[in-house]
Amino acid sequence: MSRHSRRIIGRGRVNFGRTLRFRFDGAEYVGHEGDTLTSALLANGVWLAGRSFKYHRRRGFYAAGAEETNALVEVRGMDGLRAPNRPASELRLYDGMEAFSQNCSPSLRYDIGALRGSLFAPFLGAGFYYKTFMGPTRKGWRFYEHMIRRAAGMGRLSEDVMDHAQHESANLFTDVLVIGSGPAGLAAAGAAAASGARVTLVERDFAAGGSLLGERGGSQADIWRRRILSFLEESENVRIFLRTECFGAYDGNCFGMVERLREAGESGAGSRSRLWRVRARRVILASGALERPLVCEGNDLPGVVLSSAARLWLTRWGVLPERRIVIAANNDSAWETAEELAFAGMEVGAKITLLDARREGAGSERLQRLRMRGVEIHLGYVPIAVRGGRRVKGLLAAPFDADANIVVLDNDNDNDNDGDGDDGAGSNGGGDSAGEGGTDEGTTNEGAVKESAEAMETDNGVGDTAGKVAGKTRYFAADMVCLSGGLDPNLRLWSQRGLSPRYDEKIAAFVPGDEMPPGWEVVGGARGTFSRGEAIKEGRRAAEAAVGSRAASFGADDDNGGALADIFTIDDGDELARGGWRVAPCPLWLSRGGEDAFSRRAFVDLSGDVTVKDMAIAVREGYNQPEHAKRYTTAGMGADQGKTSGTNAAGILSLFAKRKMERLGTARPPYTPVEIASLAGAEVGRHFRPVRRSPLHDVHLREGVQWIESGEWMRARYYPASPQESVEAGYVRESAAVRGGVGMTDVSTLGKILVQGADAEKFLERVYVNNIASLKSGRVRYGVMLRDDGMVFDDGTLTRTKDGGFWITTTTANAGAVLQRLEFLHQAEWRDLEVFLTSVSDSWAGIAVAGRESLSVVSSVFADDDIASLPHMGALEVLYGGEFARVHRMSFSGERAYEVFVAAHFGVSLWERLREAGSERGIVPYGLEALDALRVEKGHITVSEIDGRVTLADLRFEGMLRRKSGLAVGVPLGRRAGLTDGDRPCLTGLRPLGAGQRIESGSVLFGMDGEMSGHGEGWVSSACYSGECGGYIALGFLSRARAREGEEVRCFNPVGRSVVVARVVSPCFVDSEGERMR
Amino acid sequence: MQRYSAFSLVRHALSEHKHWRRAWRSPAPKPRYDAIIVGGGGHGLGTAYYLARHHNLKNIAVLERGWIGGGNTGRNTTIIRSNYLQEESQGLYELARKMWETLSQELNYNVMFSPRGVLNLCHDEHELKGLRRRVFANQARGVRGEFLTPREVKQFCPPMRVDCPRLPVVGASLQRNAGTARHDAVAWGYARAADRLGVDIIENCTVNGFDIRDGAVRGVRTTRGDIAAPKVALVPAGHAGVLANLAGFRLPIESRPLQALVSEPVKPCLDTVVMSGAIHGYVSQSDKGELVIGGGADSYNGYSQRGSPHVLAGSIAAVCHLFPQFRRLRMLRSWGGVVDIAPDASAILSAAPVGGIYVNCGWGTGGFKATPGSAFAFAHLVAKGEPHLKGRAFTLARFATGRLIDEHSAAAVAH
Repeated sequence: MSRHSRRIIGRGRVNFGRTLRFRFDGAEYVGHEGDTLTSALLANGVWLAGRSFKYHRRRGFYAAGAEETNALVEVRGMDGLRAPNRPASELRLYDGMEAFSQNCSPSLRYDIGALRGSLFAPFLGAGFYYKTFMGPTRKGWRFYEHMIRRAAGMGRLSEDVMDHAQHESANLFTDVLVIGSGPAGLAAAGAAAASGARVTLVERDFAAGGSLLGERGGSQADIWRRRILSFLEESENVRIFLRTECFGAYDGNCFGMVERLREAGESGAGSRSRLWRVRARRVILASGALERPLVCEGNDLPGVVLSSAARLWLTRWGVLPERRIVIAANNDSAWETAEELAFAGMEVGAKITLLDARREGAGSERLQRLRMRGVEIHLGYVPIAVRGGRRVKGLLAAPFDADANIVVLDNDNDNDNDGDGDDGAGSNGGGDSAGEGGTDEGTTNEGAVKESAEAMETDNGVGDTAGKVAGKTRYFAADMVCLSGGLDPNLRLWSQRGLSPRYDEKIAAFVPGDEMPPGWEVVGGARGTFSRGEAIKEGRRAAEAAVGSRAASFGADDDNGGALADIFTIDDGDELARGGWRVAPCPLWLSRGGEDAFSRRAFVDLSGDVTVKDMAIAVREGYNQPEHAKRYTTAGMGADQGKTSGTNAAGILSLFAKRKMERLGTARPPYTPVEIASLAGAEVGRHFRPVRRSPLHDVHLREGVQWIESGEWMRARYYPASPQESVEAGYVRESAAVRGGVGMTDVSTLGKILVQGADAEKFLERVYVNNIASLKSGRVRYGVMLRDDGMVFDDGTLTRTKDGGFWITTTTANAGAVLQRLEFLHQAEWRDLEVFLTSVSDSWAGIAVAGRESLSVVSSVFADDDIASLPHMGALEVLYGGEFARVHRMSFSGERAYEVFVAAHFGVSLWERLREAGSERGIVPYGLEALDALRVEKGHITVSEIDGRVTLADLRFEGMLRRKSGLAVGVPLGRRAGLTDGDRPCLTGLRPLGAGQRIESGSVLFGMDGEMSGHGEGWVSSACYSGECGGYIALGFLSRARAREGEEVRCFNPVGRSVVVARVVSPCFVDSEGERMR
Repeated sequence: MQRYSAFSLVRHALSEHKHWRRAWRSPAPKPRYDAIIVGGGGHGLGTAYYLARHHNLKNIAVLERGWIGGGNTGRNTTIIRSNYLQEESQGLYELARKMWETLSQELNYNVMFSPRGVLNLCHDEHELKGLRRRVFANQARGVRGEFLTPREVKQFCPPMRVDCPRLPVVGASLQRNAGTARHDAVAWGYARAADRLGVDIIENCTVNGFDIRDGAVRGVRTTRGDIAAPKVALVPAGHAGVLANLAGFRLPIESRPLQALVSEPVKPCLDTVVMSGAIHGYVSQSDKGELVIGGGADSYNGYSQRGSPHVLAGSIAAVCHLFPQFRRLRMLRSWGGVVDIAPDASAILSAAPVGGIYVNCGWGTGGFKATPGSAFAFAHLVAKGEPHLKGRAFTLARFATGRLIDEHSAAAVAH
């Protein structure tokens, strides 16, 4: 067959002027701009697209949109990266696309997995894995699991991790969000736009129009689509997103959308996708309806397609893949498809046969029209089985009694009938159609209809009151079988908001209930309105309601409005308004009687290989709650998340379990799978978290710093004296310099919060356990905050500023959390207090100068005489560079020390001047490690000690409380017996007995007697080498530590099985009287 | 009961699977039971099973508002580990972990416990310190744990990137005998085994009131009628507070949405469980091939089984940080569960202030792993009125006495 003979000249919306080359499984093909991978491969006569999940059955192209569950392919980019499981129908063809089939080995045609699949199929019924693989020993499962895992999975991931593609994210606020650009969505967007409201129209396809794209180019419907689109494109208040998936509906009318800027594997500049977080005042859901198939045997063979797909392939892409086509349906939509196919097919001599389960079909008018077009129509026929081996050869159909469409599975009688002759041939290759279909090979357009002499099973299952085959079966040779089991309103987004749809018998589908999320309207096909004229009206009405008083009259005084008025002038008799359903569909979940009538090849869910028999097993075993049936059989859990299978599975469940129709499972985001990279957005690699740098960053670089990442911060770890100097040697040297003379370090990363307002003092009194009222201006106080439950939350300092406010500092790690907590307390608990909280962390640079020479260094930089007389815990507001600066005399290291804060932009100059001033005294910059060692020597605590599980008393801070009259957060609950128990481990110092011995942080503490197992009597929280002590020291928590000073304990590392015996000492290792810092 | 085995599977396959019997009955509620368990998740069904199995209480019922296993049992990321810090938690979680090892055989239902190892990653020195303390504490108390250097992490889990340009992996703890299990199977397995022992499992039965007289419970009011029972055990996870309210007492529980997601199935690409508290993401690969990804809870309270999109995106970014190759996969489905969090982030297994009522809740973000242990200890409490040795610290009274079991370090130790 020549390459393009499957294209119908003059049909479709592809640009035949532009040719695109692409490869599938290594073979080169040609397509055109506007093609999808599906349409391009079909035009090239390729049907086989992949292998199925469980049984490795051959699968072809099945759908034209989001509901494609069969043709999942891997796309490989120029960079060699694989993008697995992409539906071919969703891949817009680009030049150089390289796609591969999946789940087959060694090749798509000859797949060893298929043999395995058919061999074991009888044992692989629903839930089989729950019933076996439990022996011979309890370790057995690991062995089976290994094999199961290898068999499962679909696509493959690249092992190469370098993915350089960029993705971005953005926020959007809109008055009216219209989801879907079919007739109802376009109408809604148009009407809303006319009011001047900000309108956002979202369409997941790369072309706007929805079902209108299924209309012939040049038809009235097509012209309408183009007119309203150009109106929207010209309206400045309308933003149209194409190729944008609105994947999730969240609380507060927040939506997640992903805009695809390039296809998987497509090279190009800029971001590949954009994640939008949208907040909408009003939402109009116009997501249309999806066609579902009919369930019959062999309904997964390549060549079996949704009838809506066949129509779109023709009208959008000009592809009529086959010439002998049988359409089996139960509703009017398929008749429109038949008409379209016949219209195009006449030119190329295609033979269209239409079977409808309904005796009256879609009414006499349509019947006549279709017959005139040469469509062969058989009313009252349902498909029984699709025949064929490697692909479709024909369809076996039988007359159908639609009057009482109830099929009953009777558990007690289920062995009564075993007459299903089809079951014998279990092989995947099939070929069981030989009897009927064999001679049809090679016949062309005759559409050979054969009366099958073979009487099918006369009755299937006792109690099978209807849905039964009545009379003789007929066989129709065909190269493509289109199935249409009805339309399902697409309510995924609506359901994501926790709402359950209601089953509407009139259209045999689930429709939205009366409850709507606030601000929502559902219009058009999504609410079960399948008439185009009605859908347009609904869209318009919903938009006018949404914009309310802003609704514009489409008057002649407004150019735009005039144009729109014209667009909305549609007569009921117009071709545009026609279409839709005239005759009710006939609900048809199973075309034949009970379970027995089906072999293991009647698929309910193609993507999970779930069969009618699986559903029967689930029901028989009692998994007949919809969610149980779903999970037990995995129906609706595959690639399409039940888009094609959900309603059929619900119908089959209702028949088998004798339940009313209930939706299967819950709708969960996303609507269709969303690439994970899009969700991660730009938070990749170095940008995973923002890097926070101190204002002194560049100075540290000049000082030859070794960095350490501490949360988001880049902090100076130490400043190696030589490239060989180790971390430990470095911090020992730096701490010695501080103890011996003077050092300086960057403390800019501390959290800094300005607390202002008339009630600032009252507020802080409630927050800190310390007495705040007695804090005088010009003084600094160490402060501790508790959590509600009495545990220590954070520590820091408070300074009363001259204007009556407070300047507080927090630990670096908790800067954000403290502000958040203070805001919470203010906004939620004490709204009556006049307090203003401002984070000023980034506005100030801070440098601590520590050591007995610190005064001379600081005072040579600041001319202020008061510095010399500044007492310990005194604060001074001075000027630096003409701006306010703060000098606090306080000490973390235990030496006399000053913390100097200046405006961030002066940080570098301050560092340099202090460095200069201290140079003759041998000032040394010190990093985080020395800072830590110095404070451990002094017994000061950090987040290593404040781990959320310690009380004030555990830290030996109970004295703070005694000096306070009022109550602070956490104090009442802190008085509980368990928190004041004297046996609780409390802060202690530890010194190893042996010289040079080292205590590891995390070690478990045990007394000298007894076995070392269990939780011990405490633990080690921090450890370091102390130059001052001439050995390793540690801080930890030990039960009754105060009374045990001088005792010996064992510090146990259970991983290394090592023990260090240490003496319990005061946590303050140096200058316990505090003379140095005063 | 029909026994499940490879042999039975073959036998049934030969008869077209037509002779499988119901996994559990669907009885109408009786007017009276010796005990009622409210909540048909894994913990509730397990409680029923152990009550019947070990305490000879057979006239009991499990009442489930929807379908069994439809709450957090069916909505979690199936991770099982016991490397907690506090002694009490270690005891209970390790009991559970050991029970997981033989649960399939015990229930004759394959719950697919897969001890593939759980890695807890550290991204900075401070975190490493906390980790060291936890591993030491675990090891000293007989819970398996070891340290891994970044290089060993890479060896153990080759697909993972440890030298990330930001927040690299600086170390990890590994519990080798931890792993995952199949969540639905746990509910169904317990249901089937309990049913076999005579327990009535009653679905679509909402409890909307309690019959309480003289400070003691006499029964419950449900949408399927009043049912009398001298003992009522509440195992309602996220809705614990709602039920307690109906019974006239309050629980120190906050309920919040916690989200998870799965990708499309792919061939095996990750053989262990990877968790990172600091960057808030964890991931494993299900036997079907889907990557199962979880993250942090939403910061506000609510009963909606959905969360906020930015929380989900954060977890995804975290996982992609460690596994850049996962970026090309697609998210197939995401969902939320309502987690019940106690002030100290530990569970409550306790008698309630109303006589005859017992509560099992507060499992927060980590209840699945505890299922067998929780159920076992709770059954003991319900049957004897006295706590089981491993569960005795988990009383409601601890919030009054302050003898907390704080597993909440993240609340104070920011990263």
